[in-house]
Parts: sequence; structure tokens; C-alpha cells
Amino acid sequence: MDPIIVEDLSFSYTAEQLVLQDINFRVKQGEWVAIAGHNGSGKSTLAKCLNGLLMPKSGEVITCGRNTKDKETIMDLRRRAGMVFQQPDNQLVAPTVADDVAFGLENAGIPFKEMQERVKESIHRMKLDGLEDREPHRLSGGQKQRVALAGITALRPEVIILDEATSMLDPVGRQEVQEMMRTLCREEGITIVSITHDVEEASEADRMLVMHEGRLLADDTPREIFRQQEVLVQAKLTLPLPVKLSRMLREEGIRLPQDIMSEQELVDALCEWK
Amino acid sequence: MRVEVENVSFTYMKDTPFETTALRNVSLTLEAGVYHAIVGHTGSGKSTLMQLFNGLEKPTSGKVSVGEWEITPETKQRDLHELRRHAGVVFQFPESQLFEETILKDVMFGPLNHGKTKAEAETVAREALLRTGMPAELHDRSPFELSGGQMRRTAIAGVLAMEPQLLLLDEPTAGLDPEGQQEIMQLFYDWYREKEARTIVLISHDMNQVARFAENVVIMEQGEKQLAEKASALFTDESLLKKYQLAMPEHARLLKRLEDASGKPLDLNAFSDEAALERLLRFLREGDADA
Repeated sequence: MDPIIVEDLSFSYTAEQLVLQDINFRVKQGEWVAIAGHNGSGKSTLAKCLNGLLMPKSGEVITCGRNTKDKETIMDLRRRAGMVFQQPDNQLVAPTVADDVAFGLENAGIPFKEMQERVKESIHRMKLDGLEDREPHRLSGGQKQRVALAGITALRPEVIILDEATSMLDPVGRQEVQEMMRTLCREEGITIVSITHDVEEASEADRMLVMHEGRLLADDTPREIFRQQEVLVQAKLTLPLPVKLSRMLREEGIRLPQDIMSEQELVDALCEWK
Repeated sequence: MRVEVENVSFTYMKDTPFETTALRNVSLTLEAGVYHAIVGHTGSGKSTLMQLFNGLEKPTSGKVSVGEWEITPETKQRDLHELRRHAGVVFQFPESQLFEETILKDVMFGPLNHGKTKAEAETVAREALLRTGMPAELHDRSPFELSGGQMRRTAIAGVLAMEPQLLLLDEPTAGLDPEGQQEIMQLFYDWYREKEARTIVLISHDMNQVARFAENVVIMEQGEKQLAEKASALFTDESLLKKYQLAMPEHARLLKRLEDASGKPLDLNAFSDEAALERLLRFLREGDADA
């Protein structure tokens, strides 16, 4: 069964305006899906519907086989589908890194010995070795987000949802977190749903969902979406630089392959150009 | 306004167990009429440095001169009231400081506080709002009914309505989507270009943004000034950027990769799409001429 199933989802905060309208999609096991859109497009609201922080007004969200409306299974659902938020400072709760990573395990009633092992393992996976006794608030932004990820991975989730988790970080922190996402998805098969307006980050995903005015405007591979000028303009997404420059070059009459995505591809095409 | 920093050190919570040195013996000059940027990693002291420029903080030792004002450890806060009008700050998430009933009142607050009449304050406030892309029909709305992007614009209008000569920008586009970022940066740039003497100091993690707009860059690291350099020289010098762990701006980086792959020298001094396109076309056409 697909770990995320969204059917006819609509949501509103107030009576007047629907923030999400008729959203339908599924995410496959082990897939990396980026949800992109401008500020106010509904992408963060959608993320919060995926693990039951917000309830559908109509339609269903079934995450890890559990309906988000089912109060009996909601805590279990959230253990299986962990979430990292935008502000690194708002999600760390304990006095030390190790305690913070252990927090969720403790709540889940994991026996002490196993807890210790899992904390150690998660800290190692997120490359936080040596920082176990540090105070979380004294870490860099990238480190804080990795502590949040360690706390989630310790619970052995099937899905990790990142709600603009890299948008407040400096470039170094952003790379750190992206590298962890890569490891978790590509090596460990954890399903990743990443909400972002960073097109470079989205271009690494297997699939990209584009949100605009509360609706799902496009659902395709990043490569395919970057070809669709109308979608990009409507969703106010900026193209990755190599895609944008190859388009501008084509407009100048330079013949280049249609599907250039990366810096390397553009450099190669320019070197071979005749 | 010219900013001069002379042997400035700054320590938070001095003489307590939490004492932290944020700036160590920093000296630098930021000329008037120039667009400056201060870059450095988290904790490098760049935000603390900027807070000295409008007297929000006073140096623990040393002297800061901003235009005709001098700020030393002995300076009284009340003597800096007038400086605040001339040196406007846009902090990260300035929208968190909105508080009035309507947008117009919020933007009028600063000018009124600095002695403008109600009519004068209203005029400058409306102008500032229009300039930041807030149409007249929104002026009587509550700031809390606005979208995040509109709140940010309102807060920026509040700073511009003070008619500052020096604008201090600390990550002014954090959390905005790319289009919003571009619009806000363009707005500051247009403001800057209007009058010769206007000066900007920008703090940003985004080297694309810094290279695109700033002329002069100061690099901070662990509370110390490392380097002050022309943006065009710094951002085309790969080894220098590597030394300070700064990313090469994306347009220059692409040109650099092309230069390395093709063996043909390219002018890397290109920080916008248009400039990069021009370099690429020249590269392709010169290749043609060779053949």
C-alpha cells in the first residue's frame, strides 16, 4: 500500500475560503516527492494535513495505512510519518542533544536499553557524533535540523515530511540537511515529502507537485515540469539557472537539447555546440 | 552616510558567566553612497556589527561613527534618537513588529514619533506604502489581515517613511518565495539609486543576492573582520571564496565551469541572467570565428 494517499482533500481555516481544493495524489514507498509553490499556495497547509496536524474539511488523507481522522491511530501515524518544521528553534525540547533525540522514544514507551541504542545509532546516522551532551540551542541551524531528524529517525519512520526545513538555513546548513535527506531516501528507502520553494532542492526529487491557489497544478518529474513554461509562470516558480539560461539561449537562436537540467549538462552542451 | 568603525569590540552579558565576545577589535570604513554587504557564517558577528550602526547596541570598547554621530561606550541612548531616523533598519521578519490598528497608522508611527505633523506623516506613509507595492485600498486594513509578504512590505514601508539616508538590511528576504525576494531586493535597489548619498548595508547568506546588488563586501568570521573587497573581485576569485567558505554566485560558477571544461578564458564578472547570457553568446560566437 502506498504510504501516502490523498483523496479529494479540501481544507479551510475559515468558512469563506478554501485553502486546499480537491487535492489528489499518492506517494510510493521510497519515493522522494517535492511539493513546490509560492508563499500562500497552500503547500505548508497540505504538509500539515499529511500527518494529521490539520484535519480535512472533506476528503481523506491516509498516511502509512492510517486515516488521519482516526483518533485511535493518530499517535501511531505520527510515529510512522515524522515531520521537520521550518524554524529549527521551535522543535527542540530537551537540555542536551541526546535527550532531545530520546524524547520521542521515551514517549513511545521504548525500553531503556533499546532506547539508548537507537539514540546512539540515530546520532551517528545524522553525523552528530561528539555533540551528544551539547545544548541544542547552541548548535548551528543545520545541526539543529539534523537533531530534529535524528529524533524522528530514532522512531524508525516510514515517511519523513520536511516543511521548508532548509529555508531558514545558511548554504552550509542547507547542504547538510539535503545530504541527510539523500541518505535517508536513497540508502534507507524512507519515503520523503519535502515542502520547498528552492527549485534546486526540488530538482533532486523523483517527483514534483506544484501547488497554486490551493490546487494541485502539476504532478510530474522535475525535468518534465521545468519544460512547462505555463505551469512555472502561473505557480511563480523560478527555474533552476541552467534550465533558464538554456531557454534564453534557445530564444537567441542557439540550438541546444531540450532537456538540460544541471550545470554539467549545460556546460557539456555548450562545449559540444556547433 | 559614511560609517567608520574604529577598534571596536563587543561583548554580550559582560562580567557574567554567559559573557560572549561577538566582535574583536574590528576596524572598517563603509563609504557613503555605496551598496555594501556584510557576509559571514552564523555566529560570525555580522548582525551585532550592524546593530552598532544605528546605535541599537553600543561598542564595549572602540568607536563607531555614523555620519555626524559618534557612538562610544559612554554615549547616552537619548543622544542616538535622532540617528535612528537617519539610519533605518529592516530586521529579519520585520512583520513581527507591526502593532497598529491599520497599516497606514503603523507606517505613520515613526514619522509622528520624530516630530512630523499628522498630515505630513500621512503623506510620507502613503508614499512609502505605494512604493513597497501596497495599494491605497489596503491602507485602512489591519496589518493582521495581510499575507506574510504584505506584512513584510508594510514593515519595510515603515522604515522608508522615516526617510533614512542609511538603510541597514539584515536578511530582509528570509522566508519569502523567490519572486517575493526579487521584488523586495529590487525595491531597495531602486530606493538606493534615487539619490547619490543613499547608502545600504545588506546582511545576507545568499551570495547570488549579494553579488547582484552590493558593490563592496566585508567578510566577518568569529567576530573579526577578515576582508573588505569589491564584489566583482571577490565573487570571481574561486580560491578567495574557498578560503572564506563562501559559495561562488551561480552565474559566475556556471561560467567558471564552462571555462574549466572548454579551456577558453571567460569573463566571470556576471551576476545576472542577462550578463551571463551575454557571456555565453560571446563564448559560442567566438568559437565560431575560430573555426
